[in-house]
Amino acid sequence: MVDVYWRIGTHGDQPSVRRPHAQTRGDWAPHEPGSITPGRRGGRDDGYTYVDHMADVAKAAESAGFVGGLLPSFPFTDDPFTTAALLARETRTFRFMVAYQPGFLDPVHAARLSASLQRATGGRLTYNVITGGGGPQQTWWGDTVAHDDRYARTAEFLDALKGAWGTEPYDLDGRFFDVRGAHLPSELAAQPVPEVYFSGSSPAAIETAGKHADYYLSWLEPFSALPDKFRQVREESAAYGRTPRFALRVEILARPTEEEAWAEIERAWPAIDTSKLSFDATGDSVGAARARGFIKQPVTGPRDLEVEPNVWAGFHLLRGGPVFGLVGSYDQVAQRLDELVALGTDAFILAAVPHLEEAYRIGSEVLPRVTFDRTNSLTSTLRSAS
Amino acid sequence: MSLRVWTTLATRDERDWGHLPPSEERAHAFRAAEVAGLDGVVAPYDLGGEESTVLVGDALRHTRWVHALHEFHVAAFNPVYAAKVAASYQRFTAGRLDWAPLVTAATPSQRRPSSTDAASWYARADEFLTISRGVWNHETFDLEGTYYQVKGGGFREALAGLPFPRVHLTGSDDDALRLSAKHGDVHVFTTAHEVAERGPALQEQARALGRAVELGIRLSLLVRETVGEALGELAAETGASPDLVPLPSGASWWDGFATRGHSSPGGLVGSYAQVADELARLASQGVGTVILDVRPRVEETYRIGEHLLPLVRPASSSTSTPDLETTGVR
Repeated sequence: MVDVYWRIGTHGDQPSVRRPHAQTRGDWAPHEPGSITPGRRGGRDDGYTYVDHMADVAKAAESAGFVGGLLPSFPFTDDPFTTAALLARETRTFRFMVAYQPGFLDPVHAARLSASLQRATGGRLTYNVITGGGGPQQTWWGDTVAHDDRYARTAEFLDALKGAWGTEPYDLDGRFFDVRGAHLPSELAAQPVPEVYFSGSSPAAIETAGKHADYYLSWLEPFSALPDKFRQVREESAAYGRTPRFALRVEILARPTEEEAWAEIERAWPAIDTSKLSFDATGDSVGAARARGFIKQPVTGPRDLEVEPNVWAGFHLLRGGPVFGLVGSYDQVAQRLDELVALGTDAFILAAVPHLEEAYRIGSEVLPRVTFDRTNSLTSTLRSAS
Repeated sequence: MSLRVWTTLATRDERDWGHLPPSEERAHAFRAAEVAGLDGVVAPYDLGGEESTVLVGDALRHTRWVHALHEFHVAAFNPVYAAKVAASYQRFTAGRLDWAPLVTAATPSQRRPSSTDAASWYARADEFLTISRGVWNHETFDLEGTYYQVKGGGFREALAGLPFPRVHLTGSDDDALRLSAKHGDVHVFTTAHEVAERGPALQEQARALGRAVELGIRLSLLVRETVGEALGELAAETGASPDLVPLPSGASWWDGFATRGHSSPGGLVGSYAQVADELARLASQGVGTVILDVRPRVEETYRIGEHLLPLVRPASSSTSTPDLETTGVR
């Protein structure tokens, strides 16, 4: 069974893929005519905030057949744990995939917080464990630990979180954390530990993933590169006696015909930030640097970034986020998703802007066209909230 | 000055009703505080119960007036992340989040370097509050501390310009008062004696730093229309004559509330009028915040809202009146 997640933007949203710099949903950009959540009525704020829109995206994705949604975390975003706590009782089957960096929380606190959320939602919390891209973003957060050490800390954090998730006292005299007699009350200990979607592309990341990842989460890359990456993680995991599953974060631009899909990009192209065509990566993120290697310079038009059929390396030009995604007709995109499953993909996080309308579109036009077995959360009683 | 009156939320299952999910049971309690006109609800730090961040989110999302006091241990997260969490709450709830960071409460875990004694816990809390407020109020912020290091920090874009949560601190020793004078907005004591004994010294220390710290008190309550009813209730429950300290109003101070399952052991027993009198006496000593612990929570919150608050708050006074259109909930 393939879990297909959606995404909820935590930095506002844009009204159309054709307007790369417009940010009229939420208040992450100055208010302009047409801005919503907050909107204006009679010259005043209408009282809605961006979390109201996030709630609507969650409900749209739930109704459209997604099992849940990723809540991303960067310095200038809203906080995913906070959003999950606010929206816990407003959806029924929607799983909150909370992105967080283990360095910023105490592991036993994280266990208590997570188990409480599990109890409030009927087990609908999933983790996207990120270890950080390094550079100025990392020290902004108050994190000065170096790249490979951060992965060691992530591993120690997850050891401690899982160790404390029980009723017996747990100790860990760790390098990063000092844990003494930690345990949970029985009602919380009875909750399931959230599934871990683990991000990171470096050797240190893959080694840590081998021990702790339920799903190894990667941005989409050209199909030719994925089998190698999957094989490497599989080998690391085997050393720990684990069989990892693979999840892909895939941007989608799907329209009834391929021509219509490319036409959307042609319309947006004049407004893109051309400095991003050089694919410079900041920080020490290995993932961003990998994307650069697939691009043939110079890039003069959108189709120069189509590195394989329907695989386009220009999504970061249209909105913040990953480089690669799928562009094509509903049939083509569904077929590519099928191929990704055949290559070994076990779960997807799909996304398109605007998130609300596109959840309905992909849910009603693309998902019905895939042939792989996907989890139908709406009929699953396993995860329905009590 | 008008008192801010809070009630405390449950972190554990109290009714043992198998058919009622604990989050629903708790929702009844914060709805009670909302409609009965209380100023806020407290989400306590309880290692034996549910985690307070989750309580805060649920309470703020489903109310429009009450504040939520987030009690957490300073070891729970790094100060920048703590501020990020707070910023989202403030953005989405019209600034209705308040903070109660705990310093010397028990914690089974912490990030290295470890704090090992009260002094090193207070040093960590000082850094925590300096950084969380620092990144909140400045577009660029750096601090190289013993416990935390921030370089190029600072909130911008939608994270900037939000009200920092009002900081509630506790404790009565010198370390506690020093931290409060420097970082606290409200200092919450647990007895009237502490308020009288330590309150003036704290306010003096704060003044010396060019700051003001409001006094608060956290107590349990057993209040009925007449003192006879209140005492009768207590006698019926305890089966003995409880050890009561008489107060000028005719109400009593009782240190035995833990036997009724309260988390605040000390509190007042008396009639509505007597208890209102005691609260007025506290207010005259500078107390502006009263955190109540009552059982059963829902029913007693209604009782306080309808019978006690009208005596505590003169008709003309009203506490904060947020603009309905900006309360951020529907």
